[in-house]
Amino acid sequence: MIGYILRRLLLMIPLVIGITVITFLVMHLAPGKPTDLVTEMQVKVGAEARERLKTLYGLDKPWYVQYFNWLKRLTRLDFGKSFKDDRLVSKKIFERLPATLLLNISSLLLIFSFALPIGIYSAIRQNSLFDKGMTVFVFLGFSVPTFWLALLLMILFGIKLGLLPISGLRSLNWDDLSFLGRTWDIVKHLILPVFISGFTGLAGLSRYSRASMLEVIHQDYIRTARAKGLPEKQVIFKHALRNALIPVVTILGLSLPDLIGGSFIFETIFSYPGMGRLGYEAIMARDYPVVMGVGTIAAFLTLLGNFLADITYAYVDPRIRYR
Amino acid sequence: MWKIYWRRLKRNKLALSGLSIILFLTILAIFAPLLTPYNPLEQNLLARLSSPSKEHWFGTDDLGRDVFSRIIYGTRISLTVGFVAIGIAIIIGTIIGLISGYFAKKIDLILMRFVDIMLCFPAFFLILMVIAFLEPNIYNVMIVIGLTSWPGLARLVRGECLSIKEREFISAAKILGLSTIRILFVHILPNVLAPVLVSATLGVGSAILIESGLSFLGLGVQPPTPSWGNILTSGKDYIYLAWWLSVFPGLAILITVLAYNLLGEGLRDIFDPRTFEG
Repeated sequence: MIGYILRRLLLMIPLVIGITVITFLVMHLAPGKPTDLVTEMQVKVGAEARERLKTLYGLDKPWYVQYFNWLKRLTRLDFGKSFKDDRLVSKKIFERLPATLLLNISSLLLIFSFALPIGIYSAIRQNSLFDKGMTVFVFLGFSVPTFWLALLLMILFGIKLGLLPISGLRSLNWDDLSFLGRTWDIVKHLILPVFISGFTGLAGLSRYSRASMLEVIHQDYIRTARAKGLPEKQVIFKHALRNALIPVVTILGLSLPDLIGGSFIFETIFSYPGMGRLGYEAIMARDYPVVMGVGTIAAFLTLLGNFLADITYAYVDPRIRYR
Repeated sequence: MWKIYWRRLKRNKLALSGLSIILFLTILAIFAPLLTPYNPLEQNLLARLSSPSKEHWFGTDDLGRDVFSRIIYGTRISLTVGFVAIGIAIIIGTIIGLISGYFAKKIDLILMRFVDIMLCFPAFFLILMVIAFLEPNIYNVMIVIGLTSWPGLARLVRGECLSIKEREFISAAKILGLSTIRILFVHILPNVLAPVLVSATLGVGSAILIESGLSFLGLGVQPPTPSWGNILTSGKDYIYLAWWLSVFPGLAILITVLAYNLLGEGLRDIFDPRTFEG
């Protein structure tokens, strides 16, 4: 097992390098330089000063030299400094990371705790009203533009009913609140973003666990279990469920790129102080070091999720021999 | 074979409903100038942000433009983006998948590693970055969505190709001395077309979602050209004043994407060899 884990971890290195190379290339092949923002607005800045700025940020060297330097610094976990405010990129990201993790992990919890029961129940009651309702829900879940759903819920719960806050993570009176008050405040701010970012995944996983359960229910060993007179509850929960859950685990890994990619749009809509919004703002401002930093961390989180899913998969399914 | 599929299509409710909605939308897009009561770009500052009424079915926006007309014109954008983007993805994905599956070994290893990288990229981040660094316009949006949507298709085609190339008719074709290109495109390609079609149809839906997301963030179709995504942006800006700016364009996106998903799932049943009947 340890050998397998090590090998999988080593395999992540070329993937991270590949992803960062692509990010770097895209950024540097695009027309326009980050120094334009500083200089184009100010007519007084001459060509000479522009060159000096480029040298200062190392932008005068070819892209592969720049990339190599960046990679070298990365081994010391140094992402460089932001072009915008000269602060350390790693600091900027780690300030925002907890909020993004809080959002994504809560969404994952939401997805798993609702999608599994829904999927399994509709598989057991195939073609029932509940099952048909679920199919409709799944179709809607895949088709609805989630940022639109976010707007609608903001209008309904935030503006018409005034029940939930529609932006940020803390209220204005945060400092005056007691500990319980603060917790409740964060929960209230989280409800809409978590529901929205989990929505597509909820539909996806419900459908997946339904399909997986349906396949297991028609296996011979389930018929055997029933034939030997086991109560239906035991057949479903002991014999079928365990086997149906195995492939569902892999979906955990697959749903991560979507969740993290979604952070960029949802955090912007809800003005949520997370890494996604930081990345979006950095892209808009051509803040190269921050873009690279956010891209790398996002890719790393995705790979880590895939890795954990594979390990869990190997762990729960005795048929898989990790070599 | 395609005759059987056609007969199944006529009996498949999912596919038929999806197809008819898509046809209806296509007609709307083509005949937009005849069907809209107002010019979608015409401003009427006296009728700013007026709620839905007899004159303006879906209300007006912050510049007094008729939202109904803008949504009808937006159909053109969404359908074109979906089609062109997925067209690009199909071409790249199929070629890379065929090459990877047919030649196997080293080429396969390299290409599939690349596909792995693309698949674990948070795609939206990549798209956002490329569009923001290039110029945000509809052409770049189509190209970039196309360039990021092919890896899944490539993997699918590769899988099919791996099993098909072991079949006897391919060995026969080789013995006859047919060129590799001919074998790939005349003998293997038609046999992988069905799953590609299913996944492409579903892909059109997600391409439309991505485009509207980008336009919503101001990185897609640029105003004043109406697109469902950028109408939603003003919906967000006037969220306290004008609910109709948010509700209607989103419904349009939902219906369109739903239609493609219905058609895609329907096609999946139709092409499924396990569905037995005459």
